[in-house]
Amino acid sequence: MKRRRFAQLAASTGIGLGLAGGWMRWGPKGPPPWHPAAVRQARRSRVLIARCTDYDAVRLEACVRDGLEACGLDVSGRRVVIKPNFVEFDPRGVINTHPVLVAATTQVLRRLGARSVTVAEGPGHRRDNGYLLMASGLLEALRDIGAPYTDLNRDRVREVVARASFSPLGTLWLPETILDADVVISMPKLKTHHWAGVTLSMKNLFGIMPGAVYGWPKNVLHWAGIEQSILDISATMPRAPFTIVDGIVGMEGNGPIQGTAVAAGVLLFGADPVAVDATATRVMGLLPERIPHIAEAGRFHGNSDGDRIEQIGETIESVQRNFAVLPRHAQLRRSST
Amino acid sequence: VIQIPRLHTDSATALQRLIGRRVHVDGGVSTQAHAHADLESTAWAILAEAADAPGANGWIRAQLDVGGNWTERRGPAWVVWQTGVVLAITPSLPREAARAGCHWLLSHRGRRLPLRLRLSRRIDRWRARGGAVEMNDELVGWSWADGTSAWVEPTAMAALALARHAPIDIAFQRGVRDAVALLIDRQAPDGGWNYGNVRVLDYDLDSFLDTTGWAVIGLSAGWEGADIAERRRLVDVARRGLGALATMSRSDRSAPLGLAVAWHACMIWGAADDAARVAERLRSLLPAAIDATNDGYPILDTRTAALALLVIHGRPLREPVQ
Repeated sequence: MKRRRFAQLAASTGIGLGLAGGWMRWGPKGPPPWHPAAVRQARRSRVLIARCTDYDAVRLEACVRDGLEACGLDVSGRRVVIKPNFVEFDPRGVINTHPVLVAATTQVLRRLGARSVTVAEGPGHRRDNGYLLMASGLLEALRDIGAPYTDLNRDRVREVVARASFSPLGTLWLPETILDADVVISMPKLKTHHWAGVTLSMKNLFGIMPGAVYGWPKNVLHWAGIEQSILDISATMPRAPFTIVDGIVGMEGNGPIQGTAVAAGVLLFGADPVAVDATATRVMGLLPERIPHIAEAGRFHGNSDGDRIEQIGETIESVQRNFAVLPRHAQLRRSST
Repeated sequence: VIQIPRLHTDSATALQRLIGRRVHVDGGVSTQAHAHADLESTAWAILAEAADAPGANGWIRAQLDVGGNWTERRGPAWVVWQTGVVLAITPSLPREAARAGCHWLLSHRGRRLPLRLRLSRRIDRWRARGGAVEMNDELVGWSWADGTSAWVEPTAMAALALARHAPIDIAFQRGVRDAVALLIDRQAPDGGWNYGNVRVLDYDLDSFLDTTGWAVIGLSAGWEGADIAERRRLVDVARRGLGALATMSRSDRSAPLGLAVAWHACMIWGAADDAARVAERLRSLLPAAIDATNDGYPILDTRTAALALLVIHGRPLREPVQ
């Protein structure tokens, strides 16, 4: 009943609604709603917070190289796909992963011996990928270094049985570019989200779901439940994506589109997307245990508990900013009870 | 007589070649090189005369299922938006296929909210409380995928499809009215349209150039069956839409798809000066866009290339409203 009520609420918004929280906590009687293959919880997960205050390409390359090495990402001989966040573009805002960071990361991966590096995105709001590429500056950044780009909205797709059943979807139609990659790097922006609370590595994976199948916006996933879909998609990824969060300039308030820029001055790195998302949430001065999809993923898919995260680089306290949230998300704040 | 600026003939040739490289041996056309053939790309390629019409038409006919739905064999059956596209733009569709497709469209609309939620949202509006998303929940348009909400672009396509084939069956006209009503409801305060949400959590959302163009074109579908008062309303809504198109198309960030759709919208509603200016802007962008596409970037997908070709040849998607 609660699941159905949530789906109705989500659909009623046309976009979706955040969860009040709690309903996803499955009772002890039933089996957990995930397949054993979706359990990726290590004993401890390493997350690096690096201070980085601007988008200077040279400094970014150094920072990204150090971050990848500190987290032990091996890309030698591998096909790498970078999934940034280009859900939409607004010249007045800071919606997107910065194109210079995407290009810098591509260059670093090449130098580390990646067999190929492709940037790929399936924008959720706009069908016009050409507009997003041209207007955002991503096209120029990628052409300068000869980096290929794939429109995941119109990529070839394959049906894959979901490794979790938080949503009623059962199977997911995933792009071959993602399925065939050896390494996927999820590269979200550090942002609040008006429905999901925050949008980080796991929420960024909405952008791999092809619009030709799921629509613009990806309304099939909204009817199935935003939080539930995030969990099912994340659980069904062939391999856990490595995460680099662009928090040099983040977004607070009415994110992910119309919020306000925050110069947070950080990049976060990690191989466990749940741990990175939990840490990034803490950097935003918010409580990951109150973000339903992060809290639930912390039960099986990765580590959200701070005690199980090996924090390196900057401390959370030294970089923490209290991101503003909409009143409906006031409970996410540390001071709220 | 409307003077249409001539775009560079080199661009036309390049666009033809671009699409030509996406034609598959079985007659279908893909959105990009190395992709599967798809209904939308094939239909646009035929319309722009950039694909072998018998082969491509045959491919499209082969994708029609027994229920009247055009669906690609490699994807899920619940993806429904291509049917409207095929019906709206494919030349020389067999009459029976068009009839079956339109009836299928009429019986596969966007999903409405449950009555309980519609009522509670109506009470919120009555109490002047802003809702999560402000729109008229009673209107029913068309969705991308079966069982989900209606959105602007598929609804505009359904309007065009049903209006085009309205002479076959009078019942199709009612669907056109429903589609136009939803488009009018989803017009943003700036006169344009985005994917389909006007206001969320008390924030107005921005309009997009391409979806505004589709909505303005979709409005024209309501012209034939409208009475004088309805036509006045359509003109008023379309004028505001054309104003938004004019503003957005002046942006130095406008891109080929939005400009091409805007040109068609302007031509259909008789805004010749704006059409000329938009065509000029498109002309200036095309060479770089073609270069980038030839380098493998998805700037000019087949739909965009076909729409641009139609601009070059001065062929709007529909007859201008009279």
